[in-house]
Amino acid sequence: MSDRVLVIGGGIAGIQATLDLAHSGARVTLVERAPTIGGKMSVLDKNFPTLDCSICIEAPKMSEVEQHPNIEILAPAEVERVEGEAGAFRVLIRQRSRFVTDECTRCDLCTQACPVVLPNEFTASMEVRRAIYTPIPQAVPGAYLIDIDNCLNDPPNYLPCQRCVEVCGPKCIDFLMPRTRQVVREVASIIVATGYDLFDPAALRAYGYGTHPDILTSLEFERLLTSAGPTGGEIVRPSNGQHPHNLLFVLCVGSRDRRFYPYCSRFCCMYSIKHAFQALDHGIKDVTVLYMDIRAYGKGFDAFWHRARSEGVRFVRGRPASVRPDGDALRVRYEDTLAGETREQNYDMVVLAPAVRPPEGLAELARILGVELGGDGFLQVVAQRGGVLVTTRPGIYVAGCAAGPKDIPDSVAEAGAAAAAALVHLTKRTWPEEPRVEPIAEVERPRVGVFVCHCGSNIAGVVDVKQVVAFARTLPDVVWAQDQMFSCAGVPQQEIAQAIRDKGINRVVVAACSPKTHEGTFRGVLVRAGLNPYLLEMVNLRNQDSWVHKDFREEATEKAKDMVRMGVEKARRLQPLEPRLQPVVQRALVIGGGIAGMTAAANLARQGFETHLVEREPELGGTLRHLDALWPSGTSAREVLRRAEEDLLRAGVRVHLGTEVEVIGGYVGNFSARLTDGEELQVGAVILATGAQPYVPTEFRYGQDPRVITNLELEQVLHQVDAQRITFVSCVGSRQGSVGCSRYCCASMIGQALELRRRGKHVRVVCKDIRTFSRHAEELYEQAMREGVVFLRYPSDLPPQEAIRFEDGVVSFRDGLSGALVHLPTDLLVLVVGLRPRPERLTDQLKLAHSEDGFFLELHPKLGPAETAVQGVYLAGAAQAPKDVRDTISQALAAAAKASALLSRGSISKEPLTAVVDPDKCIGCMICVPACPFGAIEMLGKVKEGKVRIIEAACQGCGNCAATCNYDAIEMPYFTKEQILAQIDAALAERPQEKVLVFACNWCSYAGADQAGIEKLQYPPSARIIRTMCSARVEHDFVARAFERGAGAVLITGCRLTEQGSDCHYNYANRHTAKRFELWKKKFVRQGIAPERFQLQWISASEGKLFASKMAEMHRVVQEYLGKLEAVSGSGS
Amino acid sequence: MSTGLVREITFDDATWERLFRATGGTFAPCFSCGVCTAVCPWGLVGGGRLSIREVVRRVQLGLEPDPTDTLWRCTTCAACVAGCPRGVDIPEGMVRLRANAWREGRVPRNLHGVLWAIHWDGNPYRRPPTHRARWAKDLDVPEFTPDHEVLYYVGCTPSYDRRLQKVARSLVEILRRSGVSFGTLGDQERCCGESVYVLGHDAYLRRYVEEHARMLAEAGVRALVTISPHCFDMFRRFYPDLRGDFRPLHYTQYLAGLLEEGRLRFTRELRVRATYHDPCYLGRRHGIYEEPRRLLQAIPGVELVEMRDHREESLCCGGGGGRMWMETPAEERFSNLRVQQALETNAEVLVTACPHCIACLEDSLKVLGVQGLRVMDVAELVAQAL
Repeated sequence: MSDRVLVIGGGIAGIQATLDLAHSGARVTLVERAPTIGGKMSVLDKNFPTLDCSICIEAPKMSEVEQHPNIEILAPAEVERVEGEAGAFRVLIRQRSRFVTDECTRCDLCTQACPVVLPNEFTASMEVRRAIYTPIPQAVPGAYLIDIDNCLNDPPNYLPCQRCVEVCGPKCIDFLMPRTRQVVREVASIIVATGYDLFDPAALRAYGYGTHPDILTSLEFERLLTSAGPTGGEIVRPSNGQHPHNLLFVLCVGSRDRRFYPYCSRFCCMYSIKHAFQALDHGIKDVTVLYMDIRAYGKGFDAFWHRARSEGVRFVRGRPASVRPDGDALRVRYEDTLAGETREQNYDMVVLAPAVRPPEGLAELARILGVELGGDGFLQVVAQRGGVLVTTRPGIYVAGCAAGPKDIPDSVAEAGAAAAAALVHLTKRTWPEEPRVEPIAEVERPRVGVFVCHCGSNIAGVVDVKQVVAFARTLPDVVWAQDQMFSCAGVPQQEIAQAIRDKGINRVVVAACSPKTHEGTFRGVLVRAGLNPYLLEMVNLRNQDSWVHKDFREEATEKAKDMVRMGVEKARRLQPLEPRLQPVVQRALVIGGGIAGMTAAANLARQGFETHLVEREPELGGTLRHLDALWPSGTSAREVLRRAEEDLLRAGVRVHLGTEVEVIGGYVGNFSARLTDGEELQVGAVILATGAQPYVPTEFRYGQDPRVITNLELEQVLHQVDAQRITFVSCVGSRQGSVGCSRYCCASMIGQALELRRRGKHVRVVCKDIRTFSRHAEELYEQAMREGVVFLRYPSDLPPQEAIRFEDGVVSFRDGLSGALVHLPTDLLVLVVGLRPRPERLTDQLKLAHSEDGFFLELHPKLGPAETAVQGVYLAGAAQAPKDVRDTISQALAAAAKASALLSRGSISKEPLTAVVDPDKCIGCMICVPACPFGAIEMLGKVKEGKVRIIEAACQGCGNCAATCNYDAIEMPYFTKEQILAQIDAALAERPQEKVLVFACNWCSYAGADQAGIEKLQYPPSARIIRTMCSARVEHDFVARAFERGAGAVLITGCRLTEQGSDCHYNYANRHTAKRFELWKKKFVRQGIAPERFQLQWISASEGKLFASKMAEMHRVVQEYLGKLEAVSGSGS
Repeated sequence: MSTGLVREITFDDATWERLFRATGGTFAPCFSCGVCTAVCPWGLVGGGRLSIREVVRRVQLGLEPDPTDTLWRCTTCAACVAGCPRGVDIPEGMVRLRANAWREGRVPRNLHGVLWAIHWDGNPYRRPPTHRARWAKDLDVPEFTPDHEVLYYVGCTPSYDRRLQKVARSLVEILRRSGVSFGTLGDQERCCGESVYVLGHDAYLRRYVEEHARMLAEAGVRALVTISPHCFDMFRRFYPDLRGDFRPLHYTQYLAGLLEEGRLRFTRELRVRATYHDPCYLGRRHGIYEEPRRLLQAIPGVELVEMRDHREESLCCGGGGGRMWMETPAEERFSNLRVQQALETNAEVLVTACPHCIACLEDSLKVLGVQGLRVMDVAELVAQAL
């Protein structure tokens, strides 16, 4: 019996599964073949359709994996053998050595010394690396490693190179490490999340990949778009470094192609649309996409496609016959199949979207694991268990692309689902314990210790560290200051701990690198020394000073002093904070008894949580009760339902049939619900599995003409249809206006059509783009055609009722693929209806939001599909968006995993950064209540009479309320007003007119500033940066104080906010920032502050370049301002 | 389609099902990507366009293809098949549609004569069967007996056409010098039936092939070497293996084998820059790309260069699919383009391994008035270097 789960593969699916498991108290061994976790997502630029920066939203998860005490990462490593059975597997893992110890400080001197230059395969080989290297700057675990096969020290050799060893300050390169070691782990269950590889398009010779540098794969193009990529985010032709004037994107390269991969690769349409869109954004005017069917199946995908079209991307239905170099250009020959014209055109660049194929070695891994492969080479899943997650061997689950291509949200949902399934096998949950040390009692009177790091020459090479230390000693309350070579290395860490105890230090300032990467490390030092971890302040000398001002040594030293002063002033005001534990009722409520609710409830109950399932109908099963077969597998719906019901009963779920939730309220861990059967329930988590409802058509005289039925009605009579001539019409009630694709219908419709065809009927399908994106669905589509189902195409941009007529038993429309007006004599017209949101009374009670299409809004479209902005409330199945049974089951389990993480500990620990109300100052104006993006502020009593209360469990700590409050009645611990004002004063203590005060949010802009450092982008040293959790924390008084003190300029930065959405980590809190900024700006301008001196700029975590250029711009603003000041004082004198 | 495939259609189930059956469902899986149409050589020459997708779509809509022209244009070169993501055997579908046209009596008049000629004379040229072996009358080629290693199957064109007779004689020379024991069927040899197949007369084809196969089996034929890739294709794909040891080979395959075994050796150096044209039925149809190249590269002094379109992307000469029996206006000949491609390589010899190709390419040399480029068969070059 084991409390451990093995996760194989560290891409986003593996990461998510690992985190979900660890959050539920499982111990996890994460095995990754590559040197870093992160997978494909970590090298992407932006994600569709929100255009989120990919690494910005993934990197926090990566470092959480690294820091979580329940998680062990083995990389680079591979699984060699698996013995035993579910609940008790014994796994042999072979780990390859990194040859770099954990003492590594990431100073990067070694790679500069290494003489071996190799393509960096981790970033599509568009960049080079050395033999000692880090695959990506955000690499986890232990950034650096040696590629021993390519290292000149590869023994036996008698003339060792040793260059890296010589430059390594902390001496952490060790060639004597054994090359590999074997690790044995006992695990209860296994999750396979090995992802995918891309097809090498060189095999498709006619497309010329490899014969000309300007024929790229989509991943290579992605790297061109990345600001951290080889061109710094410029789209240039590799052949000549020029910007292309016209660009062609080719879809389905090797996909939907019997010669290579007959299946659909599922996400290429969307990323190619994104690429096309970004290309326009980069100023390329002529952008064409050659497609077969646009498979924009997800939430907001169709809208994104339409947007790309309306902005000027040309979409042409066709497939190239050939791509050939022609002088300077690429000559492409294709037929525009909707115009019936063969064209030959020249493009400057051609981007191929290669098929997603099973990853190298998957077959071997399957053999080791004893699981079967599907015909397509991905792992086989058991159809009767819903056709997801469950492999052919009990206790082994699969998530993400290892079970067929899928996009990030679907992979993330499956990862959560696999975690939920894997948890069932655990006999024990493990919660890491804090180390026990004699606490330092005296913290009232600040005694500050300052530790300035050389970071080898990274800081000391530019900044005069000794001078900074001497300066620190002059600052108030500083009782100790010293320099260290590498503060984060093992010995210096002990030195800090020792100093704390010996010198009676009770506030610690570490002036080294970024808190984003090292705060955890140094907080650990404080804890080990017996000091409260929140008495630490980090000063980011490396990323935000020495790395970015290397030509301004003196100014950089002055800036370092300012920064240390800011740090000390903040540190003097730090207070010990305790993570809060909130009790959680370990009971779950699942609303909706369809397959989603049944699956989620059964899983939670099997994990041992008391689970209530409420269903308004007298029977379980929801939509599935009305279905005959599930396509594309053709599995009996009844069978799937029977097994789900069996699981449900065996797990001991308490089922409330014919019952609804009447009233529900409360907050995370503590909801109370009253059911219509009178029962009162206290629950910690709520899963909404209320499903969707089929659209009821009004088109085609449905309901009046007996020859017109819906596909769901057909399902009931499929085996008794008398009609001979049957016509299906797709997308009735889908894909119009704000209503997107309903996802389930194409595969299901084709299944029905094929069934009828096999009964000798004349079957015709009148459809838009066929969207058989799910696993085996494209194969089903092809089979249906092969057997004689005829597919005819009506225009994508018209709703069916406008494009198609049904009169006198004849369906008439124009077939796009022949241009002909087609008349189909029809005995039975089947309307294939979409799914619509179900009106839900509980929405307001739970304070849930809706997306534009009326379905529930998820927490994050990429990484939080099963969560909502309301903590403790989760979404399962079609309540979030239309989906088929497989995706429904996977999302239901993902929701269960989230609920399990909450419920399993019995309490919820929160970083003590949540808002605190001072009841004496609160006047009860309630202005903060609607401002909270999480509904975490409760009104106690009436406006002007009562007070407010922060629901600590729901508060996320953005600080928007504090900025809203006009009476300083709300305080944000660790980012208090007093602390921030002190930082402002410290920053502007000397020559304030020359300085730009920058507020940067923790998640994006501060990370963007760090990125500028990592990329060594130089900018003038006038910026003084103050970190807050969210830009919405910034108060009017901060800005006012800065100008009062004479700041040259003030810049507020935050996560990106665009029309497509927001990167904001606090549910669009930055909208408040934007609004406030406009208001304040007017005010300050009225007060005579020139508008350019007060600015707002969105900077995402990857946009180091933007950060640097903005700083340069702000510097000019300050210089001009100084010029004006001098002119004024000159004329005055 | 703006090309006016058809303005308006009312689905007729009976016709639809009949066409579906007649084409064996060949076209059914097509999802109209248009690669076939974009890749088809007819799109490269002026004037006569052939939209394959249009033909396919018509069948999918239950419409007969335009019987007069389109259907008979296809050279069955299979360039479209090589590019087809759904693996539709378009030439096969075309042949089946032609079969349908025979059944409905909608076939160009002159094509009847070709089949009658094969029926009466054993060759499509209406040449006397008794003249069939005249090309070899001074060569003393033995009549095939079962103890011969191979049957040398000459085929109609090399038997009767004066230009191609040189190829037939070259091969005799090569086989002899390599010490191969072989024989021919002399004037008993008959057409392989290729024209019957590509012109789509499936009923006659079945009977013809059955008889001919029996005749070969009775003669004790096992290994059979052809000059023409088309004959090779017929024997390989359509002839039943009556004795269980029938092994048709194209001569390039056979010679490549002899080369490897060391039986075929070169003594002379040919200082020549050559480019090789892949015949459709050898390359795309049977994947034989390497053997002819191996032979050429083995000849001392031969410098082999490739044309723009080669191997899977080879450009058809225009002679297949029964096009030899139809008139193609000079400006619509693919072979003109091919000669152009050969000229771009600065080769002195355009080498190939198919009688149709040689005929078409030589024709184009004349039409275009090209100097400094010769068309030769692989066998001719090999024979020169012995």
